[in-house]
Parts: sequence; C-alpha cells; structure tokens
Amino acid sequence: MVASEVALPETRTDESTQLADLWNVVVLNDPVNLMSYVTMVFKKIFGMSQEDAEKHMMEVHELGRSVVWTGGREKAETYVYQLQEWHLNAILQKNEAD
Amino acid sequence: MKPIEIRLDLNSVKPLLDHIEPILDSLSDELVVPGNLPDDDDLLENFWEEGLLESQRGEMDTIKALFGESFRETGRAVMDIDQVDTVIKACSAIRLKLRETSLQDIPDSDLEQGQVELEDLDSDQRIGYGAYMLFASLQELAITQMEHGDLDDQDGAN
Repeated sequence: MVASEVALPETRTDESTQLADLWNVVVLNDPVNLMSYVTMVFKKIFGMSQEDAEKHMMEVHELGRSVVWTGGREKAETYVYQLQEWHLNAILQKNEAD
Repeated sequence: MKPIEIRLDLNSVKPLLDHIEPILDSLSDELVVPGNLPDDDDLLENFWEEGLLESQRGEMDTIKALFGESFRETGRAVMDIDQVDTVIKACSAIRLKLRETSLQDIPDSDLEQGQVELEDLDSDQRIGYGAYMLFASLQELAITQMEHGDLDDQDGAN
C-alpha cells in the first residue's frame, strides 16, 4: 500500500445544536363531512379523548381550521396522509413560531 | 362487535344506488380530495397519491359488494366488523363527490345546516340529495355501532 501524500480537506465541526423544524398538521373545514365523523377520525388517528376531539372539530367548523398536531416533519407527513386517507382536507404547514 | 345488518326499502333506494354507480367508478380512478403534499419530490408525491387512490378504490369495491346483486334482490346487506372503517370512509368520499356533482349549485351553508328545500331542487339534485342523506345515515349508523361495539367489547372483558 502506498501512503498518499495528498493533503486531506480541511474539516470543521459545528458544535452548536440546531433543533429540527416544527411542522403543523392543519385540518381545514369542508361543508360535507359530519361532525361525528370528524370527531371519530381525530380520536382514531391521534388517540384524542372525546373532549379534545370535539374541541378540534368545533375549531374546524367555526374557525375554518384547526392545528391538530405539531412536531417533526416525518411524523407530521404520516398524520396528513392518514387524514387525507379519511378524506379530510389536511395540510402541512411550517410552524412559524419555531 | 357483531356484524351490522342493514335493511332498506328497495323501491326507495334503487334509484339512489343507480345514481351513484358512475360516482363509484370515477372514485376508483380519481381522488375525491386531491393529495396535498408540500414537497418538490415528484416520486414521493406519486407514491403518496397512488397510496391514497388504492385505499379509495378499496372503499368503492366494498360499497359495490355491499349493495351488489344480493342486496338488489333482498334489500338486505351485512357489514362485517373488518369492513366498518372502509364503509365509513367510503360514505365520506361518495358524499364529497355528490357535493361536487349533483349538489354543486347548493350553497355550503344550506348543506351544512341541512336547510335544503326539496321542492327547490330539480330531479337530478333530488336524487343526488337523497343519496347524500342515505350515505350520511349509513355513516352515522356505522360510527354509532362501532363506538357502542367497542363499549360492548369492554363490558364483555370485565
């Protein structure tokens, strides 16, 4: 084996810790899906209590949207997919407070 | 949880089922709520939409089987436990599609508050609205049975 005389590239280590971005899972209102249905879906997907699920459902109904979960991107994508599988209008939004 | 038995008056329901037949076919090919993923990755987006469509296609197949030949002869359908989630989802997809098609001219607020006057509707809208209400009832029945079924199971375990 021949020793290389090529100089190694200079490396630096960033010692600061950067938190991963946070993402909101947002459910938007639609005039079709029943309140009982939306409540049931929230309970099924997020394991919410009846009270929490109804609170978010009412937010969707009255305010047009509700942030139902906040966290890492990968898990947020999974939740959005599951909500869309139940035909709810769900989107992913970067948490601006982050 | 026991299977859910549904008995309906064939004379009333047949025109509604005929009305949704093309809807079931279109929902086997196209998502009722477009997949919405804020990502530039085309490959992921394709997987995402294909997965959703596959799931929706399964829902339509379940509804076709539930209200198939046997139901059209007897007016009786039986929903097995493992079909309940699929049927509940399918009802949502069918109602969303009816809203986009037969019921597109009805204001959101009237639909949401159930303030639709039948005499103001033309025949296509009337049948569409009948189907819209039928699948709301079926969905509510399935949700109620599922939630009570869960309670029954818990009672049985205690």
